[in-house]
Amino acid sequence: MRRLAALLLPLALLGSCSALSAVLPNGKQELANVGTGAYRLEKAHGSIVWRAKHMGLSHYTARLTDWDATLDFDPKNPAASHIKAIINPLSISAEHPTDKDWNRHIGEDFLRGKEFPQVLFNSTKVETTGEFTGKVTGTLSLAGISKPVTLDVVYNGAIASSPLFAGKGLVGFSAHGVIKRSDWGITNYASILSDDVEIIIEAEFVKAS
Amino acid sequence: MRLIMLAAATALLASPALAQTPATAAAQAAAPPAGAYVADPAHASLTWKVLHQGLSWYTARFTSFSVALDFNPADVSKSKVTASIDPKSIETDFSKTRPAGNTADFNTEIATGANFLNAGKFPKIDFVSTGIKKTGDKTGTMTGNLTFLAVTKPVTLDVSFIGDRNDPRIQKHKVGFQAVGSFKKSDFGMTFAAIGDEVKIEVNAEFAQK
Repeated sequence: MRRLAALLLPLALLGSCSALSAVLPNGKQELANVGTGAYRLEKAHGSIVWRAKHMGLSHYTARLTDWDATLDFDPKNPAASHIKAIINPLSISAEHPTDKDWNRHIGEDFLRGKEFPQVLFNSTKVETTGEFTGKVTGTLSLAGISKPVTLDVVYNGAIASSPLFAGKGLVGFSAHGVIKRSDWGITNYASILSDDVEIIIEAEFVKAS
Repeated sequence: MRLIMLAAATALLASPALAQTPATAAAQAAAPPAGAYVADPAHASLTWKVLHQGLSWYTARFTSFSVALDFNPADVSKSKVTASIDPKSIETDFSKTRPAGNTADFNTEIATGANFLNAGKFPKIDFVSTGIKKTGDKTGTMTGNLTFLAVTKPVTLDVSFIGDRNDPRIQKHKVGFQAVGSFKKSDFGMTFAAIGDEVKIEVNAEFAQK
C-alpha cells in the first residue's frame, strides 16, 4: 500500500490522471476555515522571478530556482503572521542561448553567491491593506548586507484538506516588490542594467502536521 | 525618450543650423530604422502563468521560440509580427524544486501530456499578427491568430515600446518591447480542471535588425 501510494503521489502531483484531477479541490479565497500555525513551501509550486531593465530596451527576466520558506500563518489576525525564506543565490536560471557560464556569472559576480551562499528574508512586519491583500516588510540579507524590503502580497486562497498531501491544508500567495540592487552593493553593469530589480513570487504552502 | 532628448540637446548644442529645426533633428534621431528585425534570444523571455488550484499563479516559460518583426516606425499599424514556439522547450524548474523522491520529468509531462501541450501531436505553437493599433505614445494593442493544440483563434496583447538604440556589441540597431495578455485555455480545447481558464502571457524581448 505504501509503495502504491508513493507511486500514485507523483502521478497525482503531475496531474497525469485526469480522473483524479477532476476531483481535486480548487482553493477558495477565504480566511474563515484556514488552519492556523506552521506551513512549509510546497516547492513544486513556488517560483521567484526577477526583472531588470536592460539597455533601456527590455525587462530582462530570469529566475532563482532553489529556495525554501516557512510560514507561520494566522488567518484570524494576518498581521501576526511571520515568514522566513532562504534562497540559493547560485540557483540563477536565465536561459542564455549560447553562454553556458551565464547563470554562474550572475550568481557569483552579481549576487556574490560564493562568498555569501544564503540569501535570507525574515519578515519583521505584516500589514493588511484589504481583505486579501497586505504588505510584508522584512530584512533581506543578500551579498553580505541586510536591509529592509517591503512586498505587496495577495492571498489567493486555501484548500482546507488536500488529498495530495494526506489531507493537509494548503494556502497560496502572490508577492511583488521592487528593490534597488545598489542598496546591497550590487552595482555591476550599472550603465546598462537598471538599479531597480522587480521581484515576483508565487508560492503555495502545505500545513505542517 | 531620454535618447531623443539627449540627441535633440546634442543637436542643439552642436549645430546652429540644426538648432533652427530641432524637431527635425529629434525626429531623425528618434526613428529606429524600418524593416526586418528578429528577437535576440539572449534578451528575450516568454513567461506564462496559470492559477493553480486557486492557490498561486503557477509560473513557467518557454525557452525556445523565435519572433520576427517587420517594423514600420512611421506607421506601426503596418508592422507585422510572426512568432513560433517549441512547446517541448517548456521550463517549469520543477526538476530543481520537486519534493524528494519524486523523480518524474515534469517538463516532459507538461510538454507532451494529452491534458497539456500534447507536443508529440502538435509540435508548434504559432502566432501571426493580424492588426496592430497605436493607443499612446509608446503603447499599442496587437491582435493576432494564435494556433495552439491545432485550434486557431484571435488573441490580443497589450504592447509597450520600451526603447531603441544601437547595440555596440553586435553593431546593429535594436528595438525593445513588452507584450502582455491572456487567453482562455478552453478556447483551445484544454480542459484540465486543476488550473484556471485564464492563461496569462508576458513577453519581454529585444529585437535586432536583421
